[in-house]
Amino acid sequence: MLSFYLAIIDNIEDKCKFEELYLLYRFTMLKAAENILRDFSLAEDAVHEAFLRILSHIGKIDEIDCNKTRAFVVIVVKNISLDMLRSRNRHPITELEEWEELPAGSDTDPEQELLGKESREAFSRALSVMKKTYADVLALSIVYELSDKEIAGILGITAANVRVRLCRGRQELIRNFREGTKENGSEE
Amino acid sequence: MDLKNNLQLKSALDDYLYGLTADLAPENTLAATMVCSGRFYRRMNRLIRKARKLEAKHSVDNQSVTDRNEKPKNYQPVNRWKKRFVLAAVIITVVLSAFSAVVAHDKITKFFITIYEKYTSIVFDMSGESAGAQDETLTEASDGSQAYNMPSYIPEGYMQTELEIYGEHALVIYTNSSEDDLIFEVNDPMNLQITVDSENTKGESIMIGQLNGFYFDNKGTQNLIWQDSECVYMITGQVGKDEMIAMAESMY
Repeated sequence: MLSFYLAIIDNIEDKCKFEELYLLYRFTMLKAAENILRDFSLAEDAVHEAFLRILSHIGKIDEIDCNKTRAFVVIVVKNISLDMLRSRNRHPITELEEWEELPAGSDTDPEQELLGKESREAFSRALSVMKKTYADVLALSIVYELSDKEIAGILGITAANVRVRLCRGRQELIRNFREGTKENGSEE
Repeated sequence: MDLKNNLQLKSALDDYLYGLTADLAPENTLAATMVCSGRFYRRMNRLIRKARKLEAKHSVDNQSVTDRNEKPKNYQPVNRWKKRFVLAAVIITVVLSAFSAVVAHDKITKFFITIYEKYTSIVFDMSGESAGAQDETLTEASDGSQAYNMPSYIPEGYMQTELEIYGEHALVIYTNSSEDDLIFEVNDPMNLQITVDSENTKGESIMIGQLNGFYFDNKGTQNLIWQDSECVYMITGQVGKDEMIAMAESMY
């Protein structure tokens, strides 16, 4: 009797969003991981781990076939690969090493006003010399609009660590601006 | 100054993101130069199956909310009545068979099969009595892991290759020399909902000893689902109906 009931049921969608993501970016991710790990087998592990984390945040991805999503999956797999490389080299960057007290009152800092006056090119210059882990967290927070907790889940770190990286990223951005301004001034 | 609302910074970050992928060749080019291992494909296939289940469950949840709150845009009264009739018929059938099983069991277990437009959802439920029984059986083993009832019979050629336990869910994968997977899952029946891809599916209700079960063959993959007073079990693979039933029966 159940076969009769099931026979009248329509079918489920052919591919889910996650599967589309996998089919579109698996080799890109493998290449990004292999570039860091220099080991294809380890790269496969990194990509699997990356997809596991992405699955938990699949709702945050709207459009599959776009550079924004391509960059997102590359950030995830690169960070995982770097973590794997650190643990393989037995020089892990522990949470303790990265931990630092957050400076207070940063939103009202006069230096922040400087950022408002800068151009896109100046920001690009500052980002290009910034530590990648900080730039990635800034991008995840500002472009992808992920919360600290969501970034923590994606990168496999704590939310407190995310806040530290965001804070340091902002500080480094300001420092790079200062140095860039000095260089521009001396050139003139 | 709020960095999050700084449009210049956002544009610069877009440039940064573009730069991250600029040195990577297009996917098609990379695909032609890379050969992934069978292990990678197996793991990814499992992940995709999990993703399908999650997305289907999400769709079920959304459809339930839609049904409660408003009529969908493509509202079709005739189709809806047909679905209601089918749903009522299935529930009556399953509940009646569950009551017949009560004669043989002092613990009541039941599951409801709900047919939606595009898929089938199987919801498991337990009475208060059997929920208590579940607490007794899902106790922690001496090593801290959950102790689950496992089949003592495994089809010839298959060996256990993976065991994953997360929360009250256990997944055992048996693999043969052709790298075919046979998956045995144990789930906590409380609030469990299994969504079945029902494309071209023919299912039948069967008995595992004195327990009600549901068997279906979908695109060459066989599935067997049943519930006892403790857990919901599911076997997925390509070993045939008889072998699956033999596996299930070996647990009792």
